Amino acid sequence: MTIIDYMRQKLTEYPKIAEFLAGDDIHIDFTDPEPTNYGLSSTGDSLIKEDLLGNQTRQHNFALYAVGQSFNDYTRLANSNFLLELGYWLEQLPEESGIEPRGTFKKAWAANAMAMQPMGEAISDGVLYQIQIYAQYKVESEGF
Amino acid sequence: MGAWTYENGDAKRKDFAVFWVKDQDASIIKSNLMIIGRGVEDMAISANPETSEKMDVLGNNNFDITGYKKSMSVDPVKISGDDEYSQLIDELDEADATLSDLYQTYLCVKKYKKDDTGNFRAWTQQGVIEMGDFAAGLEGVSTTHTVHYVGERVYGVVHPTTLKFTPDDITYEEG
Repeated sequence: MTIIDYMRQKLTEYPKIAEFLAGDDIHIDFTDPEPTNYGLSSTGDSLIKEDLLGNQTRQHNFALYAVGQSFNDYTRLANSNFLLELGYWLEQLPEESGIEPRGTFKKAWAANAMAMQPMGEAISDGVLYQIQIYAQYKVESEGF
Repeated sequence: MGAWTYENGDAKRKDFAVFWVKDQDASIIKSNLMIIGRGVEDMAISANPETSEKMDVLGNNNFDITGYKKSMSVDPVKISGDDEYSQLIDELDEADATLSDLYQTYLCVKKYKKDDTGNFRAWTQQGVIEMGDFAAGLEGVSTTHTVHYVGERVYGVVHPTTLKFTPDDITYEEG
């Protein structure tokens, strides 16, 4: 699987996302405007460094968009805590091989978790939250 | 020396490799080699020339290079279950190894330079490991060390797939 497939799978496995999604998958590059929905957008992949054997350390950037309930301060605080805890959880992900091609997931972390905009005229229509996710992975060279 | 062919364009760094020869008494083939350089971004073989500089009575400066003390710094070596060389370094550090325990054999291969049968130019040489820092930084357990090359280089060729090393023919002149 690619790093995009991998992160999508990991986010789907996050227990608190499952609670919100009620068994649905995370959308890719699309977020349903109805609360509560999540979409994972890939925003680019870059080479961080390369060792002298040609092994690459790469970073893939994602933005996770989430439309959450926003009836009152309680639900909005719950959404913010959800993003905070998701960030903590991402930092705890272990290294794992199986990223194509010849890749190993190394680590992930989150940044800029914030409420972006209300989804309608009424605050009860939900709020779009965004969290940027960075995944670092290693790609082994084809060898000598 | 036969005719050598260089690859077109600039040689890439990954086309020059240094291997540790695991068993110095066995044949040098792929299964007996461990490549060095995982996670390393700079691993030069430094020439360290011995120099002699004098000014003669006429005021002319004279500069001679009388030899080389080649060495190679390896920084970092991350201790890993997948890397036997890193395990060797870890054990040498643990044992406070000295003298002959620090002698290892290395194989250097120029993938960008081939003979007419497609074999790569290569040489073997012994090196003495000088241990450096242990467990610095937060990215895993890593060590540093310097390999001081000693003795003669034995030049030869390496087969591209089996990595079998064959020394150049040595011809002796009858006196």
